[in-house]
Amino acid sequence: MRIEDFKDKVFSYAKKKGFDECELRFTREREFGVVVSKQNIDNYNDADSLKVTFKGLKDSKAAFSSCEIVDEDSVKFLVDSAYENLLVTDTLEEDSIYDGSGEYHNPQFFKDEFEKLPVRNKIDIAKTMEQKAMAFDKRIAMVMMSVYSHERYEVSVFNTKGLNLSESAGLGAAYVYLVASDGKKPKRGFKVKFGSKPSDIDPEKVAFEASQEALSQLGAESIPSGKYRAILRRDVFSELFFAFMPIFSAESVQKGLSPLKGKLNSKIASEILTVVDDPLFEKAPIKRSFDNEGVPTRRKPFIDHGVLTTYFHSLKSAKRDGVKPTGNVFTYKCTPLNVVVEVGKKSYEDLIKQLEKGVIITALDGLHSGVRTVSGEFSVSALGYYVENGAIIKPVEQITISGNILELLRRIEEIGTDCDLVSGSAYFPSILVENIDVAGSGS
Amino acid sequence: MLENRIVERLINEGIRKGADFVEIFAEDRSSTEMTMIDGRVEVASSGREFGIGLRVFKDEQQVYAYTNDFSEKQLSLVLNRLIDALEIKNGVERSINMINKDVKNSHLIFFYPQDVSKSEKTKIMKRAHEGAKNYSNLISQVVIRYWDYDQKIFIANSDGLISQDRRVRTRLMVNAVATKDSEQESGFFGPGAAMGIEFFNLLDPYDVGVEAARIADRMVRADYAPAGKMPVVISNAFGGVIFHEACGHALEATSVAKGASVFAGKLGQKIASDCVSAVDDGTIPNAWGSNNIDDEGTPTQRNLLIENGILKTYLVDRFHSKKMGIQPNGCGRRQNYKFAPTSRMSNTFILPGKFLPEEIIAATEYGLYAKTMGGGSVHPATGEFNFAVAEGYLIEKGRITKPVRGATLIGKGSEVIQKIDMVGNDLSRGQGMCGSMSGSVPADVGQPTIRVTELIVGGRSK
Repeated sequence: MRIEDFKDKVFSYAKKKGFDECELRFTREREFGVVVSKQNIDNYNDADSLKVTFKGLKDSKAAFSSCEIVDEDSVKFLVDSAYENLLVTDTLEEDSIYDGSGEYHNPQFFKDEFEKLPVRNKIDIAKTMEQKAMAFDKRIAMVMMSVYSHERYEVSVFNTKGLNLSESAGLGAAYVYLVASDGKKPKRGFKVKFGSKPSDIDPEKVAFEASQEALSQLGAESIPSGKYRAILRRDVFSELFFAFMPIFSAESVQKGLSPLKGKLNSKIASEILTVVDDPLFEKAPIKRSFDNEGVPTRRKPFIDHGVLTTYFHSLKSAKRDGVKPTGNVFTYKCTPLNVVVEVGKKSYEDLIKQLEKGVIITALDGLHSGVRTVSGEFSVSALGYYVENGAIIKPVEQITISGNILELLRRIEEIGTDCDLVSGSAYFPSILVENIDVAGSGS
Repeated sequence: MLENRIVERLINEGIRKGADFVEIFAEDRSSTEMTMIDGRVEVASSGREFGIGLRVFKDEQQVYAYTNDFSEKQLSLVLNRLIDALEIKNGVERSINMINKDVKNSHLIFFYPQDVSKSEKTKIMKRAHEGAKNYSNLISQVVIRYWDYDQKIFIANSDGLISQDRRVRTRLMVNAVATKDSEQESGFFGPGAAMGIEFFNLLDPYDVGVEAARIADRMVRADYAPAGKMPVVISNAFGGVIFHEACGHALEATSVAKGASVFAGKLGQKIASDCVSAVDDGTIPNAWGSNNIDDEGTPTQRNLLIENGILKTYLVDRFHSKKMGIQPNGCGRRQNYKFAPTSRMSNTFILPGKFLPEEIIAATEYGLYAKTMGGGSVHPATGEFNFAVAEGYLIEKGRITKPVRGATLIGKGSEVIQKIDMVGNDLSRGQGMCGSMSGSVPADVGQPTIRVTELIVGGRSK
């Protein structure tokens, strides 16, 4: 069935069933990935899929359903099951369907150059990365995974208020995960690079950097527990910041699930920190002109010189707070799309000099469990280096760092100039913080 | 779900074109998810997933593809893309005789989720809400999530197997938030089972709310955990996440076959302390991580992983079995048709020992008592693991004294299982979702109370 016909059928059946308004979102995804290990294809994924999400509104209450096939049965399933969901939904908060007001940027259409690259070439890139990593140093014991992947999604939002929007987004990535060994303790190295076209990604560089990272960790030891001055390298700063993204959601704040309640327009971070949500950020591969509710996206700082300037709103949370929705509903949550931290003043090397004595954190583990978004507290496993007299002395392992994210943001002393795209949606620099709690050997 | 005629034709086509092995996996899953905040249903959502995955092996290589399009033409196209990717030629003309293999169901379901109204399900949530809310006046917010699904699967492969199975799972998750002065802490409890709604006849949802609230209430009054190396006593049930992370993942063929696990090449050797025996058992009736057959069609079984410290077996899926020369042992799992299966844990636990839990506490001069665990993760190649302590207490002079919060435990798997020196007699299991290469799958973790002589506790320095 054509999507247009399916949409018409769903809308007319929904009306008959008793919904006042409704919305349909179609997401068509294309995914490709090849994982090479010992020059063999260890895993390979070649996929196309479709997901249809329905939102029905009656008396300002919303209910939801989704399916993966566009046919007569799905028309009935989507509407009937959403109607049943509506009957049990007893929220006091009003939801809505977007009326299409506001200014939309040109819809974004991703030029998928990854798809044009022959499959054979992509397999070869993954194989080459593995070879280059193994050849880099004889202490590289094994490449666990050498991966080349890309994905694309096309999203369309239609609603009974006449909204009819479509665009596509996508990105590619290469990563290497390997192990170095000096015959004593094996150490891991990981590097990933994202891009919007194949030429953005230099696979050899990925292989070299992953190798260097693992080698630089050989001989690492724990350090005594205590408070340390610290640099969070840009990838680590971004990971930690992203783990706390739910605290910026207006819905979390309204439900008493965020430590940012009551903190709008007040200082929550060091005044040298400005963080921007930029859905059309030039250097980010994924760009969107509207969110999953059809609301136009826009560029906005949310921490401006240390001051919290906005929460991220859905239609529902915006209505409750009496503000405009911010165009931040992606994957059902209110979240920024591309997070960009404004560049600081010191190079990474100068940050190390300024650190003088302390630790550089280069990897974190356990963010999914060691982060408490309700309180802002975190306690996670970490790796890095120990610094004395402004120079790296030795690698560090088997430590944890802990603290509160808001305290950490307040204690930012310096921001680096080493901004880079550290994930598909994060453009971050390294930061220097006054102190952080480290647990390690001894007490 | 699929006609045998089409399946046979596709599998024969793959073999004729040179594949060593062809597998077809189809799935039809209905699910319900509901979220209740502050006693009201905020979001209710229903879903239907419908897809098919094709997998091909050639020599030491495997490729996978999936689609929502069940037409014979599309499936043939997808299969040929896989064959091309492997650059294989010179197939053999052989006709595979497909045999329908009946699956014996060991996990009886009494009330299928779709036969029970959603208003009945919201009553379950409301009762959990009351349990949490009534626990103490410090409870400021309660978020309840209810989740059920009914997954029908179809598996066919070039060994001639055709198998079908149906899996039903139900779970209730409560997050309670306690507020005291300006401090907030949360507590979580989320039991689940391979059962229908009858699960809540065995388990009172009210008690689920109470347990989440109890943790939040206790922790909001707690000081920060101390930092540094110390003995740690880990409570039973979900405490078994330590074995799951520290050891279980490194016993999966995915890393062992590559030689990328710290336990590779150690079959028959002593890897743990004498008091440690552990199993992975996918057959336990109606347990959260159980299945009749795995996602490759192999019947699940009870695998003795470690016996009195000696490594007895690994968890082996089909793809890695050839490399390792070990038969697949029923642990090939995947989240859904969007993932190729790989070796995964099901219900994994340390077997009971001889001590009463109280004896273990009494024998500990100073340390941490980890009563409730959060999640964790591990790097199998280096063995470095971490996991969060959701509810902790200090042990001083053989007694549990004050509550402490914010602790994370870190260490290395191969070291920690040698440092377990006391194992209790109070085995039980807890439920979680386990994430890895083939997605997120339901898994039980379990253990009796155990003591680890030394672990790094990530708390705050004085």
